[in-house]
Amino acid sequence: MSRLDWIVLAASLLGVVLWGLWKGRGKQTGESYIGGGRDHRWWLIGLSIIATQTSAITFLSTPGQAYADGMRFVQFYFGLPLAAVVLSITAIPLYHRLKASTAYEILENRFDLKTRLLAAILFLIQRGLAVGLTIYAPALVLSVLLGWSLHANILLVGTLVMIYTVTGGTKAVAWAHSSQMIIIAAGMVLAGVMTAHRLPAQVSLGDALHVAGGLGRLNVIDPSFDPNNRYNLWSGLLGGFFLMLSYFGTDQSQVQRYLAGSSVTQSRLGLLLNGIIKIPMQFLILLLGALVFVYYQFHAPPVFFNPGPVKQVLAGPDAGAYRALEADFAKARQAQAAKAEAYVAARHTGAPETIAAAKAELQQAQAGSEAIRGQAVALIRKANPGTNPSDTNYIFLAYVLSSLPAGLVGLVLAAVFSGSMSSMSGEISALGATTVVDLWRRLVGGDPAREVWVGRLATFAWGCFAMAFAEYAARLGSLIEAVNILGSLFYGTILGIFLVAFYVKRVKGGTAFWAALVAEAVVLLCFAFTKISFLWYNLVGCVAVVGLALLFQPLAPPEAPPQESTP
Amino acid sequence: MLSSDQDPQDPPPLTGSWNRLYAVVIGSLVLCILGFALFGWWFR
Repeated sequence: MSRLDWIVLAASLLGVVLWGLWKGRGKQTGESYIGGGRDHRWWLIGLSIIATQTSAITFLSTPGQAYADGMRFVQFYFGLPLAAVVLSITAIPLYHRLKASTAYEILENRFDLKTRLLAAILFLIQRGLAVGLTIYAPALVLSVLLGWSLHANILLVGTLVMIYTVTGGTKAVAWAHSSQMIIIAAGMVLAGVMTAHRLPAQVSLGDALHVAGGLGRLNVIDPSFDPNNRYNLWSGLLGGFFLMLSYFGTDQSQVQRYLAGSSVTQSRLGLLLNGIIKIPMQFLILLLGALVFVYYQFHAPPVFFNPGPVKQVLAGPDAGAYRALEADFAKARQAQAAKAEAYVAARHTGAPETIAAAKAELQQAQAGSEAIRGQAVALIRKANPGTNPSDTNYIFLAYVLSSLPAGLVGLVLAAVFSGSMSSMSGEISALGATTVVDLWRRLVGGDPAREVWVGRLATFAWGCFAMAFAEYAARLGSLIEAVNILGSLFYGTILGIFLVAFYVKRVKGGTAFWAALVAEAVVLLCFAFTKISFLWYNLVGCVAVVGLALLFQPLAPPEAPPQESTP
Repeated sequence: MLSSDQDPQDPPPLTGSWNRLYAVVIGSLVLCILGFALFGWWFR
C-alpha cells in the first residue's frame, strides 16, 4: 500500500467516526439514545437500513461470486421489495401506534411478558454470536492478503465503532451509516470505472459484457424450479420473501432503524427505499465482479486467490505437483487470452459464423483452464483436511491490491472497513437497546434518568463481547459453521411468533409462548436426530409455531380481559 | 412524541397514495427481473 492509500484510508475512517460523534452529540434521554430522537427522515432511515445489511464480507464476497459463478446471486434479494411492502402495510403502523422501542415490546401487548422475553432472549443469543463474525470474517481476509495482524484489525474496527455508537446511540449510528454508504458507493463506482478503463484498448465495455456473457457470467435470471439450486427465480421470490420478512420485521438491528423515523410515513418510505435500491445495488456489485472476470481474461490470474491454503500445499508432499499445475494453468490462461482477443476481434468484423466459432473456442479454452484449476483445488483440499477452502472472498480484494492505482486501493479498503463498521454498529446498538428495553427497563424497572448510562454500558458490553468472540473465532475453525447453525435454530421460532402476532388474530395469551417452546423443541430434535440441512430449521421452526399455536388455541382456558401493557 | 403525520392514511410524496407507491415498488421488482433477463439474453 502506498502512502496515499494510507492517507485516504485513515481520513475516511476518521471522518466517519467524527461525523458520527458530531451528529450524536448533545444531551440525551434513554428514549432518544435508543430511539434516535424519533426524528429521522426517510432517506436517512433508508441509508441506515442498507448500511446495516451491507457487511464487509458481503461486500468482499459478492464480486467474487460473480467471478466464480455468474450473477445469479442477485435473485436472492427478489423477496425484499415484497417483504418491504407487507411490513409497510402491517408492522410499521403497529410499531408506531404502540410507540415501541424494540420489536419485542409488541409481543407483550399482543400476548404476554413471557413471550416477549422469549423472543428478546432468542434474539440476543443469535445476534450476539453473529456480530463477532461480522468483524472477524473481513479481518481474516485483510490479514491474509495484506499481512496485517488479525487481532489489530478486530481491535481497530471494534474500537472505532464503539467510540461513536456507545456515546451517540441510534442517532450517531444512523448518521455514521450515511457517511459509510457514501464511502462504499464511491469505492465501488470508482473501482468499476477503473476496471472498465484497465481493459485492453481494443475491448469496449460492450465487448467486455459479451465476453462475460459468452462465458456464462451474466446468467442473472434462472427460471428453473429446482429445490437443490440455491439461487433461482422462485427460491428468491418465495424463500427470499420469508427470509426478508423475518430479517426486516423481527430483527431489532433492522427494526431499530425504521423505528427512529419521525412518523409512519417516514419509516415506510425508508424501508420502501431499500426495497427499490437494494436489487440494482447488488446487481452493480455483481457486475463489477463480472468485469473483474473479464479483466482476468486478458491478464494472468493466480490459480487460487486465497494464499493461506496454498501455503499448506507448498509445504507438503504435493508441492511439486501443485507447481506443475500452476505452470500448466499459466500456459492455458495465456492461450485463453489470445482466444478472448480473437473473439473481440471477430465481434468487430460482424460476421455471425466467425463470431460463433471464436466464442466456441474461447469457451473451450475456459473449460480447459477450469479443469486445471479443479485439479489444483483438489490438491489444496487434500493438504487442508477437514476444511472447505474457498477463494471467493479473496478474489475482489486480491484484484484491487494488484491492479488498481494508489489512492483507489485506500478508498476500497475504506469501503471494506465501512461495511464492517456499519453492520457492527447497527447490531451492537440493537443488542444494547434490547438489553435495556426488554430486560433492564421491563424487569428491573430502573430509574429512567440512568437509562442513557445503562444503554451505553450495555452497548459497550456487547461491543466487547463481539470483539472477544471475533478473537476466539480464529480458534474455532470449522466450528464457525456451528455458530450459523445455532442462529438457524432460533430464527424460525422468532419469525413464527411474529407471524402469529401479526396475522393470526385468534391466537391469544400464552398460547404463542407454549407453541414457541414446543416448536423450539421440535427444531432441536430435528438438529439432534435428523440430517436435514440447517437452513431448513428456519422453515420448520416457523411453520411449527404457527401450526401449534392454531392447534393449542381451542384448548386454552378463556382469557381475562386485556390489561394495559407496560412497554 | 410522534409527529402528527404518523397517520398511515397520510399520502406519500410523488405518488399520492400508498397503494400506488406499493405498486411502484413491486413494479420496480418486475422491471428488474425483466431487465435482467433481457440483459442476460442480449450478452449471452
